Amino acid sequence: MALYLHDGSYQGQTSWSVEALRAGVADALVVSPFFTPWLPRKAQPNPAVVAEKVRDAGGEFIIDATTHGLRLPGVDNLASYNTWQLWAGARGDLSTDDLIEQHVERVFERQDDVSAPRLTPTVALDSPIGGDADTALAMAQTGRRADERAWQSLAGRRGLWLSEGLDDYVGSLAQLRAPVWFVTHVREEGVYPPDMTEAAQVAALCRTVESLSLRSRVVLCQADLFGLPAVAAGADTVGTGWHTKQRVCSPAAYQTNDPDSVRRAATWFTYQGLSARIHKTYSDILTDRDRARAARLYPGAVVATGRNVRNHHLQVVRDLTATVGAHPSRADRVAALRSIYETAVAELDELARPYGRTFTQQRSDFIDGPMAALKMYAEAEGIWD
Amino acid sequence: MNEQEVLAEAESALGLAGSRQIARGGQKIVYRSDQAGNPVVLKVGLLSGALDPHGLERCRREVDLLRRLDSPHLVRVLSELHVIGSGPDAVVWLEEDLDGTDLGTLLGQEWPWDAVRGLLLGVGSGLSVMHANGYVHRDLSPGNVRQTSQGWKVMDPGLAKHLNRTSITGLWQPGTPGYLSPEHGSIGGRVTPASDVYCLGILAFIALTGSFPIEPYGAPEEYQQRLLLGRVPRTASLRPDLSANQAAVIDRCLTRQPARRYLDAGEVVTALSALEGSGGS
Repeated sequence: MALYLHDGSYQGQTSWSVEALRAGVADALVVSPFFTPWLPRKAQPNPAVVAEKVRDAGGEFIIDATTHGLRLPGVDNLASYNTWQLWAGARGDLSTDDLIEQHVERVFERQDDVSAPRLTPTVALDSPIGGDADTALAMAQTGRRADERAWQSLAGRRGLWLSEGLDDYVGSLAQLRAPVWFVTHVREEGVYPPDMTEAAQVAALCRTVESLSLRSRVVLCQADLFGLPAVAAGADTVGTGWHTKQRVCSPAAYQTNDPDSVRRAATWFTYQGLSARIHKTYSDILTDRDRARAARLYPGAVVATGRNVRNHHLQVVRDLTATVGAHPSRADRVAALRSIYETAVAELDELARPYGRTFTQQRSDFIDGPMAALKMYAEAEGIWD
Repeated sequence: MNEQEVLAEAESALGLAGSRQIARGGQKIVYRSDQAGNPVVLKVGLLSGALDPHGLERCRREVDLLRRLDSPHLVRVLSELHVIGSGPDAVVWLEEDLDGTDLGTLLGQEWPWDAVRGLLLGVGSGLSVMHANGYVHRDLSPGNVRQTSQGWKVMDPGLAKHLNRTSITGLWQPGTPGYLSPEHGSIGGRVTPASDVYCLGILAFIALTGSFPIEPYGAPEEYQQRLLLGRVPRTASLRPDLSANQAAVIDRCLTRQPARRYLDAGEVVTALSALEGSGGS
């Protein structure tokens, strides 16, 4: 089981990542052309420099070309992206086999240049039928023809996950026999916690992860705590970070008017026993008035320094991922996650009584949606006791 | 040009005599014939008046495919494709004359495991050659599988699709009711070698149990719904005498999600061989 850090646009990102890798709370850094320039730009290091630092810290260095982000609506944060020169024709043009081949070739060349694994790019799909689905499959097949050990990627929006044809499409992807799949749930809104009210989306994602994980490693990208149902379904790695665009893939992650900066000043503490984060205000109340409970739910001291908060969050996601993934059978993984959620529900309900509805809201945001999705997936698979 | 004129021209072009019709289906007529004293099968694909505008291309693919592939479990093609008439009116080609019996006439009672294993290995070996060359049969049914004195043979991959070519059937997938995979039944479903694996599983399931895993009766749309949403009975529930591993091979072939099946027939053959190596249990 592993935890991958995704790229982001905040200053100090590389230092934070290296720090987390050195602390042993993350295993790899996944760089994106949207955030790390190929050519040095202002104070930002290029991939070769970042790769060296990551490897020195004992981490794996991965490049995700993030072509699935490029074609999302309203994406305009391209200053860094354009330095990579990933396109032979117009940026984003995949209308012919030649253009697809040239794009995949250029992505592989960039990855080869810094000795990163070859990860085939894809496009975000809203349906398993039609031009985009054909293009994504053609890209994947192109990657496999070039290198049969190439990693592959699948990025889906709501329509893909809810489509009746999803399983058939995944069947055609499985034919590629890729050693690793990067699976991304593309959300409509760039908010954290993400909207989890439609359980069927995540249940279908879990079904897909189970199918792919029978033969491959599966990395659930930009998922954070909300990747745990997929870990129960067979994913072995969750992608995350400290900011919304690292945790949630959406059009906003690649737009210049990203609203995340408005919220980043807030300090949140991630409570392992709640499988949720709590705002500093309520965390302070809890540690003042109910110290024993706080200690039980938040292993280690609640210290509001940046490094502590950053690494603690990663440690929690990593530990929960490891707890769920420790079981070899999916039924046992589902049972383990269900137990985590049920414990969290009991605690949050108890906390809601004296401390108010913020805890009810946290339950709704962090537990109820994922739990409903886990149940829907597991019942369909016959592994929900 | 009528059928008799097509036959006469085919006999002339291929040096045949004494042709007699042995089967007919859709746009295809099959004759047993004689070529310089050797029995052969003449296949005629009618094009004039045909509903399917892709008939010529489809027949070309069938012949082209079979001439490339070499397996004792695939029917051998003995000639090139000949076009009859200027329309053209038909295409004709020769295949080896197979002895034996179509699988369809052998089904109906519960076969012992060893016989089913032989079916899976024979048909699976033929399909595995197709899959290894990038082809999917897409219409595996009892009428296209024959038990001969030389073992099981797969016939009529006339609807086969080369995975690297543009589909000539668009969103519609061919196949025979009762012998369709779930992806055959879905709009835009992507048929892969795993679809043939499902169909191979259907043949084995029927041989073992005498019943369809998904019943094809009723209106076509009801059958489609059952294909997409219905549950296949566990093989062990109908054949408790099988070992868990034997039943698991059939169940895996018949998994709803193609990604969870054996991905191609070669994997089925490998699994069966491993089963044998472990004593079949």
